[in-house]
Amino acid sequence: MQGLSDQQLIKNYLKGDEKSLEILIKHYLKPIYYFSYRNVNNQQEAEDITQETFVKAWRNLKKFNPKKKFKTWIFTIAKNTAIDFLRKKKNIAFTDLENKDHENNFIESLADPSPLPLEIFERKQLSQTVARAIKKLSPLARITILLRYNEHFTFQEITQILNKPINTVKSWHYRAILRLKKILTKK
Amino acid sequence: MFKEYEKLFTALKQPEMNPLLFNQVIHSIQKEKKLLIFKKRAIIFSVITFCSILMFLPSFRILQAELTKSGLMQFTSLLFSDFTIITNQWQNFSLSILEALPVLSLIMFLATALLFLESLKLFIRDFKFVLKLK
Repeated sequence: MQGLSDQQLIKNYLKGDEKSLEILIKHYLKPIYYFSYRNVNNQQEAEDITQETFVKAWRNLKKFNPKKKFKTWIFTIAKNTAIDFLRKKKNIAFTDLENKDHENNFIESLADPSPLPLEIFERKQLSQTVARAIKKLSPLARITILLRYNEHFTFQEITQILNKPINTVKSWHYRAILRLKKILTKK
Repeated sequence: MFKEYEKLFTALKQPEMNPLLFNQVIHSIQKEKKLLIFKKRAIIFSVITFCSILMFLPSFRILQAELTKSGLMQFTSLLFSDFTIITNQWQNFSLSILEALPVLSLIMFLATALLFLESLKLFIRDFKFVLKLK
């Protein structure tokens, strides 16, 4: 049962096997929770977002296209839930979340920023420093960076999750990296 | 560069996850399942209640007309005007009453009323559940 693919588990659940859904939830619970936590920085709120994400996924499981990756699909739901939550909480418009990055599509043609200085990795309490730096990023930049480096999604997959053109995603990524580096090297 | 940032993110300490979160997620899904069932039932019962309300008045009118036509009122008026005849001829009187009774329209009316009360009861019960689950 544990070795089955996500698609097979969904198929089994839709045929009536409740256990398959439990396995699927267990598999994605931690990644979704951590992703939610990094977006809201509050354990209770992250738990609420995680619960809502899985409920939404369950509600739409019949609509899931088995040709697509389940991981991409569930992270799309988690991203939308987190954004909705942030929007409700801070009462900010989605356009503000986007941070006007659409205007700078030329950025994607630029090379990636230079590597991080070695002393950053040697710094004590690196975890806290990185967490603080991530917190300072704009919501969509943060989501892009978390999906790329924490969840190891490709740009193509992030494009599907964020429902934005690849150039926009690359632009967000580039800006987020620049900002992250600036925050990290400032200390 | 990718590896470096990946390494940086592995340094990120993840928060302790609530061990009950899995059960909470399953519970939320179960609650949602129940809510969906109750919502569907509430819709069905509200439609039945509405239909029975629509049927109630015509079935009442039919019953009323049939009762007037049947002469049942005249038979029952004997109860007050000449009770001795009834006591002497009670078997014939009972049979006449039964024969005059508009059975079909009475069944139709009672069924409509019963349907209305039953669907209203179930609708209120499901509606309460939906409110409680929310």
